[in-house]
Amino acid sequence: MSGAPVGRFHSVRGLAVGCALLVVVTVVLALGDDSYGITFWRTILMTVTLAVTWNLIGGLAGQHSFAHPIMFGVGAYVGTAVLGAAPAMPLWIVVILGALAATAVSVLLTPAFRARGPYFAILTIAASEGLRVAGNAFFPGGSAGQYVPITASPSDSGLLVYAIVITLVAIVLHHVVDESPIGSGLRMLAIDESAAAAVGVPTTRLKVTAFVLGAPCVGAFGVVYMAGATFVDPNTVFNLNYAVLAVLTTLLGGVGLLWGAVFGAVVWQLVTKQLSDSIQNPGIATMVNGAALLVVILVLPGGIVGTALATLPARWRDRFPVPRPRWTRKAGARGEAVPAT
Amino acid sequence: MTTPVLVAENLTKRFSGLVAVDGVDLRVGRGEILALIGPNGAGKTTLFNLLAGRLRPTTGRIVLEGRDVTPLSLRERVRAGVVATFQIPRQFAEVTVEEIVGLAVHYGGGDRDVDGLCAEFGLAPQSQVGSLDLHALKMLEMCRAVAVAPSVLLLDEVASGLDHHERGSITERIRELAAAGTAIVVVEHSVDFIRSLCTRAMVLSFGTVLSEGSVADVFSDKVVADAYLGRRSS
Repeated sequence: MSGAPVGRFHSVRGLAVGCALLVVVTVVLALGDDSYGITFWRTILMTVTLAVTWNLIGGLAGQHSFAHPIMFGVGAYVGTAVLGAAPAMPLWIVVILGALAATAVSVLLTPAFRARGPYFAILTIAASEGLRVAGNAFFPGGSAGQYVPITASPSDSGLLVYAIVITLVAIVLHHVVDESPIGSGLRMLAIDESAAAAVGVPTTRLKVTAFVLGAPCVGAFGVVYMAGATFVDPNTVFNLNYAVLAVLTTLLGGVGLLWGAVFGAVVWQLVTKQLSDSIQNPGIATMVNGAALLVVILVLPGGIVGTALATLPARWRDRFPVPRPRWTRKAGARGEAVPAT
Repeated sequence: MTTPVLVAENLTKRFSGLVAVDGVDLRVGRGEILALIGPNGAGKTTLFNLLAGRLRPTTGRIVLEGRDVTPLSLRERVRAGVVATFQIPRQFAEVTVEEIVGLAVHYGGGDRDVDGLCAEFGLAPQSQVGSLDLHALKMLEMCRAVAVAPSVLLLDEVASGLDHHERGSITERIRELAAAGTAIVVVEHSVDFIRSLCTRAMVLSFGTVLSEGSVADVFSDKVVADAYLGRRSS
């Protein structure tokens, strides 16, 4: 079928297989006693969540946000504050509260969408860094940070369960958005905002939706990080590296592609670990890592998954027919009424 | 002319010291096809963009079926029923035809069936926009505009770059839309295309209305001929 989209629409079966793989690895690790492996897999799941949620706003909508550290840090600090007030509070409640706080903060940040392109990116960087500096000056413990007063500290395996649940929520959320008119509208406005508006797409509303939808998962992971580290400080939890990590891993896997973001996050963490294990000097390991990323971006501008899908031979493509977006079948039925004049 | 659907009153648009559109009045009725013509720099595109909502007028107002739509944004104007096509269709390379038409239906307030609309304009729903030729891109522009069931359709050089046969198919679709009651404004350079399609013409020169009337009358007007040949009328 000529001209059919490649790698755009992900079938429910593909979603189930991808999620099942992540769950299997998690269960195998959780049932074992490899504490380092469990912690490393949790870091990978955190990176997957950061990348997938960034892909919503940065990949689909083309809005290069660096606000992830804000949501992550707010989750971590709200979790710390909640446990400070009630140290025996069940962690799942703290995770939900952290997610809600991150969502509320993301809503407060939405005026940034008045700016476009690099101005929007700079605004989000300024907000992230501003909060980090403010945290150093005004948060309890200041730049020295504070210990988390958690009485029932969960096991590594217990934290892994939280991590996989949050990651799966982020992936399913991305899938649902991608398969809806919101996803198509985001892709359209990413290319040409005024042309999307000319079709009737509510561009600002969709950008805000993509931004706010990713916030709870990032905030929730801030709480999981806090519970695992039992210590928070502004320079760590509001670190701009969380945003950079999300951008880099998505670029590596394939911008705009759900499984590109997932694959990029997993590969990045595995390669980084391998390099740090093999090269004793951490500075050189980082340089090699960066150089490798640069080569991949230059040689494969669509990312590893994006390029692989685009170069798939036709006979392979025909074996995996791309499902059509179902929402277009009932677009008319769901159309909103034109307001009365 | 039938009862006007779209009325522009005393529209003026200034860009710093340049007056691109200067006190233009325009009316277009249901089922009417109005041509906006004039030499390069006459203000056609600026007037078109003012009507579409891509630009805000410096003074004047635009009324759609009795409602002042001047302050409405581009998207709000689409939902109110004024839809414009782009002269150069946007290349949403990785978006499919059905997504664009579906988005127009979903967000534009229409109630049409997406597959039916695509078939009506000879488009394969699952084609990627990047794989379409110019004629198909122009048809897609028309299709997504029609998807929101507009009261007023603004067509910007919809036939430019097309061969005789392709122009014929576009002309046919525009006539059908007009027959169904849509008010249509066409910006076009091809005199033949205008003669074969439009019911009325408005000639702009230096941002003002030089002549207005039936297509035959306008093209037989010596002042209009002078303007097209580049001489200033006295």
